[in-house]
Amino acid sequence: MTLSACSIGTSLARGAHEMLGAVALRDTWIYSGLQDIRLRYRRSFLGPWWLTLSTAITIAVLGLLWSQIFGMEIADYLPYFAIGHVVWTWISAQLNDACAGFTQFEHIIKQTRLPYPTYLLRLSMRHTLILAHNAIVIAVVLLLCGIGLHALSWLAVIGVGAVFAICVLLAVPIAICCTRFRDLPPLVASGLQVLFFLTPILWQPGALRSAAWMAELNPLFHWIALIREPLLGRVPSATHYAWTVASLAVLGTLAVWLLGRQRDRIAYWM
Amino acid sequence: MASIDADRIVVEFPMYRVGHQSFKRQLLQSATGGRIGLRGDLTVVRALDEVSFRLGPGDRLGLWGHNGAGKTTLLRAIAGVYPPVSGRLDVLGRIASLIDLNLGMDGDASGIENIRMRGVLLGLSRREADRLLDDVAAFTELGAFLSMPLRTYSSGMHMRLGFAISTAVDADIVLMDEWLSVGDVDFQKRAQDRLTNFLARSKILVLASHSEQLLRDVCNRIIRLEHGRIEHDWEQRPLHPVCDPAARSDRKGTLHHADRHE
Repeated sequence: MTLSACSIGTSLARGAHEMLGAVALRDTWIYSGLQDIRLRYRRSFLGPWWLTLSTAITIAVLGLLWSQIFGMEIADYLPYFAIGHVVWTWISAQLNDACAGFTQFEHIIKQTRLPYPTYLLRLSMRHTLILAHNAIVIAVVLLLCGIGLHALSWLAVIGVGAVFAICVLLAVPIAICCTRFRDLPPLVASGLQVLFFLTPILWQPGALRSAAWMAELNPLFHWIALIREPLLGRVPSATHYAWTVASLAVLGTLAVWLLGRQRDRIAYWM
Repeated sequence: MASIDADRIVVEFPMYRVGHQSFKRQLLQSATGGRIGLRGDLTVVRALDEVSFRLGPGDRLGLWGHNGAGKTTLLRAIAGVYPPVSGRLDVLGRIASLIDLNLGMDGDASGIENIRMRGVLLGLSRREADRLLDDVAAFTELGAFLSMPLRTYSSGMHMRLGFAISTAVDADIVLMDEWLSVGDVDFQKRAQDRLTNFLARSKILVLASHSEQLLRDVCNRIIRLEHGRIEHDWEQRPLHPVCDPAARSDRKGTLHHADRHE
């Protein structure tokens, strides 16, 4: 339990132990994430459905507007935009929340020692429950636009699982850095804002013509495609899967290494 | 098996001032070769200074000292919250931390939900957490209130619930900040019985207190902390021991370790 300058190997081993310990406490993060959502909306009439309603309105209004701007058929544009928007909201909410991923649980962290990623899994659990509510909007849009749900839609579940893991892995460095440096959260927020416009959510990569590499080199495009493509009735290309697997490997190593290196300091920064 | 082995542990808190927790400042500093100086003058407060002791089954350690002497920090270090910056600290056994009885409790959640929440925060599975319900319900006598939100409770009821949950899961090592005493006169007696039984089932107790008398009553070893250092460390016969008799008989082997520090 001592703190000494430790090798990369030691850091990785410690970090992996920490990460696996957190995943194993699944009842802890599933129940507490569920409870967070229940309590947040307990005193409101529609509960989390408020969010679904506002998502529906946003998608309807913006979908109409942007399909006009791009000169696209609403039935072609709306499903694409609806899925991208819902998935983006899910990803960015997790990453924004990760800024306070440890500080919001200071009272627990100062009293008992749970593996640190448990708190980040709890956050992602929260936002995944909200995603489950927003998924209704996607289903309605797909039905209205004549695409419907089909056997291929199930592939999207794999995508959701992969992106969930990616978000938790990304949350580790974000939470650690934001606990240490308290002026980082606004930077994360504005970074995400920029990424929203850089990523094919409002627009389609085809619109870039010769600059298509701007989408191809953006890992977010590939993560989102794993969910969006199957729901639109297409099998995601191998490129999307390759980028996602590579992201998982790189982010996994980074998260585990940083966790192993810094976990003993986190409580001291609060 | 339960043991705590602390060997010259040091816990230091960095005293961050405005610029230290600013990423911008740190970045500027590295860009200018550190000339806009903040680095180097980071004040560090040494909360525990080379603290050593070894505890085995049956040991009841009292931590005695003024405010800021390092008692709570030591409890938190044992709980794993503050890993020492140097020295070695090995803790074996399941820990129950009674530092804050209201851990994880939420005013909008019902009593039952609060019990489950604490259960999972202790690392129990949902099913194991549900098994706590009957015991806590029987002890607190909150009845129908258990399905009401916590914010509707009186402060006495609130404390009863926190106390009952905190003592619902047996542990090898119990960490306590001052002796717990909750509720009105009628309830106090039952609370004391429950606490005594809870402690008797544990193997090691570490109790921090301002009161020497309390520690003399309960503990077989007392460490007096001052400014994070061990001032005195002595063994004694507790006046009112709370201890598992079985555990006591097998602790003969661990007695001699303590002498090291006298």
